[in-house]
Amino acid sequence: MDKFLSITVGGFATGAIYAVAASGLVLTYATTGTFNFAHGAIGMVAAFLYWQVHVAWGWSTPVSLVAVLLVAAPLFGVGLERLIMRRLEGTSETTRLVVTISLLLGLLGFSVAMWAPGTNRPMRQFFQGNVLELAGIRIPWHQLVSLAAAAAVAIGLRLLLYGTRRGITMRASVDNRSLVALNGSRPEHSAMVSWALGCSLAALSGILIAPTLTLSAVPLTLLIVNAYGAAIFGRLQSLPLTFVGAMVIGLATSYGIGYLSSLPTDLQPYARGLVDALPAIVLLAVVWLLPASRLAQVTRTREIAAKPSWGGAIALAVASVVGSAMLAPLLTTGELVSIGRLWGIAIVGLSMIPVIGLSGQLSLSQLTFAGFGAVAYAHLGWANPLGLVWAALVAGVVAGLVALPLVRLQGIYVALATAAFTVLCDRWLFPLPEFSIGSRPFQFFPGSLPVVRPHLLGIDLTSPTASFVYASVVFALLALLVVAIRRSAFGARLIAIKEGPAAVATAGISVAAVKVGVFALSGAIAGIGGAILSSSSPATVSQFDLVAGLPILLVMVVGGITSVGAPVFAGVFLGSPLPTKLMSGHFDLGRWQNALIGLVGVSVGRNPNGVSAALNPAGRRVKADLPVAAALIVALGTAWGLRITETISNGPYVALTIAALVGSVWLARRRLPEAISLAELDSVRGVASGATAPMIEPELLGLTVPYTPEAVAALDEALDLASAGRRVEVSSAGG
Amino acid sequence: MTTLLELRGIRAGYDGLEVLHGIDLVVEAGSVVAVLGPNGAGKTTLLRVVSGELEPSGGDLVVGGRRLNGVPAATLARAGVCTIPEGRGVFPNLTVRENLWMMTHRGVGRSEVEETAFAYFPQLAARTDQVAGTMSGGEQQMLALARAVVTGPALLLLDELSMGLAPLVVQGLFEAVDRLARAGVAIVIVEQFVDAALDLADRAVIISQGRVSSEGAPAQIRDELRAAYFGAA
Ligand SMILES: Nc1ncnc2c1ncn2[C@@H]1O[C@H](COP(=O)(O)OP(=O)(O)OP(=O)(O)O)[C@@H](O)[C@H]1O
Ligand SMILES: [Mg+2]
Repeated sequence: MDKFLSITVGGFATGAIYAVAASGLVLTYATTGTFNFAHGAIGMVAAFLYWQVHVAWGWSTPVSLVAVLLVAAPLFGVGLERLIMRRLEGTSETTRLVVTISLLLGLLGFSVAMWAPGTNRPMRQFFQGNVLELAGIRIPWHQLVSLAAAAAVAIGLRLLLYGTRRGITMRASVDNRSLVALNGSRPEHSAMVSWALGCSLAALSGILIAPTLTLSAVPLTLLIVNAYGAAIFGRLQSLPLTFVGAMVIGLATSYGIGYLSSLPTDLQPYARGLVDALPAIVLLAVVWLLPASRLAQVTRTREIAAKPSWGGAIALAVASVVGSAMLAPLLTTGELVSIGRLWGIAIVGLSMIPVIGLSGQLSLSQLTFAGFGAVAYAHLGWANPLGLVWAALVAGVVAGLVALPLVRLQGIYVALATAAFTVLCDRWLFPLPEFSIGSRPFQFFPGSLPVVRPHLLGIDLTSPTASFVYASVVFALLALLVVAIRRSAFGARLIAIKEGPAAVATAGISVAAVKVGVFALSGAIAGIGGAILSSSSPATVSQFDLVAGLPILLVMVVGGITSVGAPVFAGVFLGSPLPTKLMSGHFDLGRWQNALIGLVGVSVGRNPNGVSAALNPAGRRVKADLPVAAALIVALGTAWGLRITETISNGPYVALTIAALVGSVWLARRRLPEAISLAELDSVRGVASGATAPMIEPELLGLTVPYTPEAVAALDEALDLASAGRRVEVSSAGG
Repeated sequence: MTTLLELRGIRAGYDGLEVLHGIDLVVEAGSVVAVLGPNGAGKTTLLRVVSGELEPSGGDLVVGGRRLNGVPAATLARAGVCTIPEGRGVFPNLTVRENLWMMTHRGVGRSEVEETAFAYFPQLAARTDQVAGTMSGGEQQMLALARAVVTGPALLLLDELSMGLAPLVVQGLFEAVDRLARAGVAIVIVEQFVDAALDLADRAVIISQGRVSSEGAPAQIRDELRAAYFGAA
């Protein structure tokens, strides 16, 4: 009984900390409309900072608290608002989420770089050693402090948001920023206050929760992330419900941890992961029980899903395979092993295009689906392509099942639910010890997965060189598949779902079927990616966890999440040692890699269409200029020839290749008469081939734009009506 | 009479697309000017320039003798330019009372705001804690108009106050506008209900394709419109 009581009190105290964290999250969301994925990471960095000033520098407790909670955290929040969040107006929810995910990754990277992991950094509880004896149970003062902090936050926020003009203005700003200005208030100021407060609350929760575990970046961040379920419980707007949710999660984890040891010893290993994943399970349950979100009306964003041309796609596919075939012989076996993950990562990146890029469903589970693919492939052990099909099938079915309860939801809810699913898998399901299905023993990851090298129609592809090229072929085929999807009627539906779900529903298309379909399809592609990953090196659970998946997403977004070129970029950047090699000796890139990716990711707010969209015109210029294109091919071939004949080494080879690429763009640009702009190039060729194509806004046709047959044809093309044979005939009579 | 608002050759637009190509307009203190014109003519854009939401790309925005190009909307609002924008001018997720509290700038207290608003629109008094978004369109516009009533502005900009409302409701709103006009508030009114607007107005302008195409006394504009209408038929 005493045990039960003290566990309950402990649960409430943990819940109180979650409540502080979650209310900060709800505050920023309800007043700015941005869900701050990095909230947990901000709390984590604040805890480290508190350790730095309090423990390392020996500042007194009050001074340290003021420095972190009232100075550093609010300043960070204000900076965040001014430098990043303010620029995100007019971007999609996906972009805004990705920016905060970048921030999370950046802060993780920053803290690892600042406070090297491995050192023991003890954090003392508040009033450590003091205990309140009450009804036979002993309550540490730290728990009382946590409860008091939560109560103060609850009362303070209530007074602020409902009682003061500033607070009401903060709430009003989400509804209508310009109307706030017309009422004589500055919406920017409200947003700044909101971010400052949100960061302070994150910091407070971080400092309160840090003493419960050793100060370590990722676990501490994820611990605060546990509170996100509470925020969802409050539907991201109700603070009282958020507090209830926080208490539920606090109690659940407290009972889970407290009673785990009461389980039979042989069951404990199976349940341990489940206890770790409890908050994720609560989050999943809450998201599943949420009422359907209202379908969004048409949104007009400054983001464009360029329609890729077959020419470009085939060029990319050929370049991938030929490039791999040229590169592979140049590398030693050791180098091939370290570069082996390139195509697997690229395929996982590719799998994000239909689901995230086209349909706007922010799935954070793609790498987990890849994990299922890897497990299926390795356990089946077939070396031929049918093994890949099996991996695709398993991962596709899992992804489809995950999508089923999500079809009613949108935006951040999809992101959070898939994140929770991923956490459930990487903390519980994947690390499960051996169990039996029927009479057959089974274990997802027996340590690491056995490597199954590919084998094709009797041709042995087991050498690292051959399997690298094989992987590039698989990537090339899947890239073509993705382009085909984008160009199909299904692809048009995916984009329609992203841009105007309500309109799609009223047009008689089942939004649910399309969503499940795209999840299953993307999951299947990711599954093949996982299989390819596990065919190059022994795969382990940690390769498929949430934190491993985020950089892929970010590099994809930076590269342009709808472009098939971006996955190559992701593969090279994350699956090969190239970035580290290029910088070796100058800069410890490995240590700063995540911080850098985060920083770059944050910049997508500036150019939400990604690098590919920016590079695309350069590529088109080169292609349009035959002599320059020919010269480029000759230059690339020559450099390779020099390298393969051992005339030059790797360094000069890379330099020559880059010089050839940059030089060709420069030449093409110089040779192009200034008068001819790219738009004209397009109209000369008569294709609406991408981001730079002039867009006709349907509702303006006939009003400000003359109603010509060409315009209607262009619209049909854009809406994919032409293929459906519904082209509208425009009569030229009248006038 | 003194000139309250003067626009000289105002040019404005969106993303490099010019919508207003040089608008001249004078509003005397305490007078009512009706701005009419076809859809897409630039009426809303013009009001957005005057309210400070959109910085003009050319010309002068002069309020009370001072050139105020580029002054933020919040500052202009505090200086006495009250705007009821196109669509519903309320915060749908705030209660009626909270919406009223948003109007407490210009030195009016909360209870004062409530008293004045409820005296003007008794219907609102029964709904203080109702969330504004759940009220009828007419009630929402009353609440929006309450801002003009309680802050006592020098200049009131009304953009299609009547949009989507039944004629009887519109009539009620227009009576309130009329009272404001008689109290000496200068009003620029953009309306689809041309006759109702012309009844209130001292002067009217017609804007088409971003230019003032006609300007004069209400009666004269009414005749012109009628001629244009029957002429085109
Ligand atoms: N935010 C915007 N971005 C781009 N163009 C805009 C924007 N707002 C208005 N426009 C364009 O400016 C022109 C004038 O619009 P405005 O809203 O001022 O017209 P209006 O006279 O108020 O029309 P209505 O009677 O339909 O309200 C239109 O062609 C419109 O498409
Ligand atoms: Mg208008």
